[in-house]
Amino acid sequence: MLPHERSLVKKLEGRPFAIVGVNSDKKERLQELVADGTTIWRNFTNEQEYGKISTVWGVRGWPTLYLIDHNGVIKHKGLRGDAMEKAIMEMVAEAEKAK
Amino acid sequence: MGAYAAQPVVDPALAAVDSATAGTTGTAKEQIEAATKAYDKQNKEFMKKLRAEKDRKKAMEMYRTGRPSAAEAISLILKLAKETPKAEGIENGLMWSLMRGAKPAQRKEVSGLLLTHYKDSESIGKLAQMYSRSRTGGEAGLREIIEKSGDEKVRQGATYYLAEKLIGNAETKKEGLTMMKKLIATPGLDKDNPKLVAQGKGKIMIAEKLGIGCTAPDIVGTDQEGKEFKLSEYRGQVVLLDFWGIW
Repeated sequence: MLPHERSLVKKLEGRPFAIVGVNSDKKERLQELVADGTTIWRNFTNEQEYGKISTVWGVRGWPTLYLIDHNGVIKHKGLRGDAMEKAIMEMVAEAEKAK
Repeated sequence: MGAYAAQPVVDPALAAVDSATAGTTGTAKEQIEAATKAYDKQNKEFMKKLRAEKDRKKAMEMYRTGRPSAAEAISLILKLAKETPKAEGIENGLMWSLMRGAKPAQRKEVSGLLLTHYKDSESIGKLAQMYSRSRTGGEAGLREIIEKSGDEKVRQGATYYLAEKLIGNAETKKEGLTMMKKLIATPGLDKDNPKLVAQGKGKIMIAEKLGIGCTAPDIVGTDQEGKEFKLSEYRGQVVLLDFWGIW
C-alpha cells in the first residue's frame, strides 16, 4: 500500500492531486515516519482533542481509503491497487479540465 | 502421521453421555458445574489432540467428526432451569450455554429463560451482543431485550445494536437512523456512555454524509507537530483520504 501511494505522489507531482493521511500511530511514531520518508504527504493524527477522526468517519478497518474529487465530492470508497490508480487518473484529468 | 492419528478420536456419543451423567445428583449449581466442567475438560483434551495432529486434512476431519458436543450439558441446564429457574447457578449455566454455541433451537430456549427470569441482569447485555453478531435474525431478540430488560444500560446497548442492524439494511435504514438519533439524544448519555454516543454519531455520519456522491465533511485537526490544517484546504485537487497506520 504505502509504496504504491508514494509512487502516486511522485507520478502526479505538479498535477491536482494530494494524499491526505489520517494516521493512527502515536504522534512520536508519526514524526519518525515523516523523517524516514515512509509518508511523504500531510497527515492528521487520528487522535484529536474532540476524539478520533476515524470514529467520526466510522472507520472500522485499516487502511480505509476515500477518493474525493476537486469539488470535494466523495467519488469512491475502498478502491485498491490498479482500480484505485485508474480512478485517480480519471479524476485528475477531470480536475484539470475544470480549471 | 501425528501421534494420535492411529487412535480413535473421542466418540461424540460417548462424550455426550459423559457430560450428561456427570452431574445427576446434588443441587442445581453442583450438577451444572459438574456437567460444564466435564465438557470443558473433554474439550480441552480434544483441542490438545487436535493441535498435535500436524496433517491439516486429518485435523479438519478430526474436528468435523470428533468435536465434543455441549448439547447434552446444555440439555441438562435447560431441564434444571425450567424446574428451578431462580436456583443458584442457573444464570451462569444459561450464559455458559450461550457461550458454548447452543444450537438455534436450544439458544432460543436459553435466551427465553434468561429474559423471563433474569431480565434485569447484566447477562442480558452479553445476550444483546450475541444477537448483534447474529447474521440471521437477531433483530427480534434485540427488540425483545429492549422491551423487557430492566437495566437501562442494557436497553441502550441493545438499542444501539438494533439501530446499527437496521441502518445496514437499505429497507430499514430510515427507521434505524431515527432510532440511533433518538438514542444519542438521550439526556445525559454523552456523559454516562460517551463511547456509545461517539459510535452512534459515526454510524449516522456514514449513513447520511459519507456515501458516494456526498460532499465530504471537513476535517479540522492537527498534524504530528501540532499544526492545524483542514481537509477543505485541498479543494480544487483530487484527494486520496487515507486512514492508515503502521503500529
